[in-house]
Amino acid sequence: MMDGHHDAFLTAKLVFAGPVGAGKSTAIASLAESPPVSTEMPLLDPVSPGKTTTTVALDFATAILDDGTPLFLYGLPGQDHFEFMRGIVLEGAVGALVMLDAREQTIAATCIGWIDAIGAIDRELPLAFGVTHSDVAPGFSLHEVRMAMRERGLAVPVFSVDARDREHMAHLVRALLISLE
Amino acid sequence: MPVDIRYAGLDPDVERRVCFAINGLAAHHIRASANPWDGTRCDMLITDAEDTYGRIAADIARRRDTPILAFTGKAGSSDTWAQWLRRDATVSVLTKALVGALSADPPTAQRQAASAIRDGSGFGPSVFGSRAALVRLVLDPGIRRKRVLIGFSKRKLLADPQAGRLFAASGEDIAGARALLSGIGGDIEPYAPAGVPAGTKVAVSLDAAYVQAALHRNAALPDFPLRDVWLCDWPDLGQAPRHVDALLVARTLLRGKTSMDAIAAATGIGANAVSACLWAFAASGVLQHASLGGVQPLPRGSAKRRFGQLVAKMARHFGLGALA
Repeated sequence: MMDGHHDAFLTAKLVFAGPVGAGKSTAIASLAESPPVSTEMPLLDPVSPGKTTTTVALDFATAILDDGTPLFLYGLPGQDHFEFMRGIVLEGAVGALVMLDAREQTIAATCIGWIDAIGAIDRELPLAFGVTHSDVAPGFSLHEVRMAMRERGLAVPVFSVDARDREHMAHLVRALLISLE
Repeated sequence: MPVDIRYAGLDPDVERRVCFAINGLAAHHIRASANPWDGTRCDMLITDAEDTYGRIAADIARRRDTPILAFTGKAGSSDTWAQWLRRDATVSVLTKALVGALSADPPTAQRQAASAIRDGSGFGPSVFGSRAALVRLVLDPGIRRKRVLIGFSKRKLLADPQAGRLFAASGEDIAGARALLSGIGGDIEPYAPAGVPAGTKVAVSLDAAYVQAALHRNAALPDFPLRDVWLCDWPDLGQAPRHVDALLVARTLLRGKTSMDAIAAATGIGANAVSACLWAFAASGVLQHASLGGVQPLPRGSAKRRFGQLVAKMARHFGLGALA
């Protein structure tokens, strides 16, 4: 388990995590300044209408900070069988943005699952959650997610966002950075 | 619920103009009713200070802290218990005075609002000068933190604080309502049925919509009256990306009990904007206070990582000058 990191061990790196179809690749593309390097493959068993591909290894893209420092944006594959990659990709990250799908019935459990999964690798890694597709999920409620957070003693940003909207995604990153200070 | 305006001791010609003026409030999105004063509580009294019956009504209204508009034949009264009007005031002058009085935010009203929240007495007559929907959603225990239907003319919105969602028939309705929620007027009533009203097609974040409304016209909102407020959960602000200040207000509230002035001092954000955020968070049900049955603040976490310059550079890139 990694903890107690300081600047010396860190790079300007944000990691996007979450289940298949939640919008990780789209979120990275929104924030990146050039098209992401992606390992998308056709999805044989689509999880949602319109979702025809999935990331089988990882997504990677960059944005350039004001002083020329590259900001690395990594996307973890959502499938459990790529779990071994999480620790490698999360190493040295400033924080993780976990994307969740509002249409999922068990969104609170998924949220907690990712808190535990990332916590097992780095329990101090700052997190923020982006909930996508809430506009087409009339039954979506933040209540269960908030209760689950409270049970863990966490106050982590959980924002409903459109992963295609750069401003929405930038705002989620702002919340992550603000919660660090 | 329309604003309940009563009049007493007016001569027939003045009474006629007053009634026209009250009808004219509809153009300002204020639904109001005009009736003779009957000794009961009302939201505003319009009276003639030189009429015996009018003076009796005014004395009672003053004891109840009811806002008063008073006609006088004297030039320029300095008494502060009423807003003074000349008997020959035109309908448009009267309408303007009514709009001003209904939007007023007298200091006593702040205390009354705080006490109304604390003792659960709700949005009684004259408790508050402001009739903004966001203010009523906080003050009235009958609708506070409940699923409510908010109506502005033909627009209907369902606000569900527990789900944190605002539902409407169209995005246009949501956009329009953002401008109206912090203004005066609008009907708000509890919504008991499960599910959403027929024709609902759009759902957005309630926290974000209220923040956008409160900061859209924050001048129409009074100073937030409660101290020792806090947050247990981050408000869902992803759909309000222009309002970076709201993030800073939220972060300060997440650190523990605080107040409008303390947040303004800690963040450098203007008190008006802080107050607007507090009204928004309170109306959406996420703000905590002892009188609101608040959940205890979460214990502060252990020492966080220190990122220093790296985070500062990222903050600058993402438009967070406050951290850079």
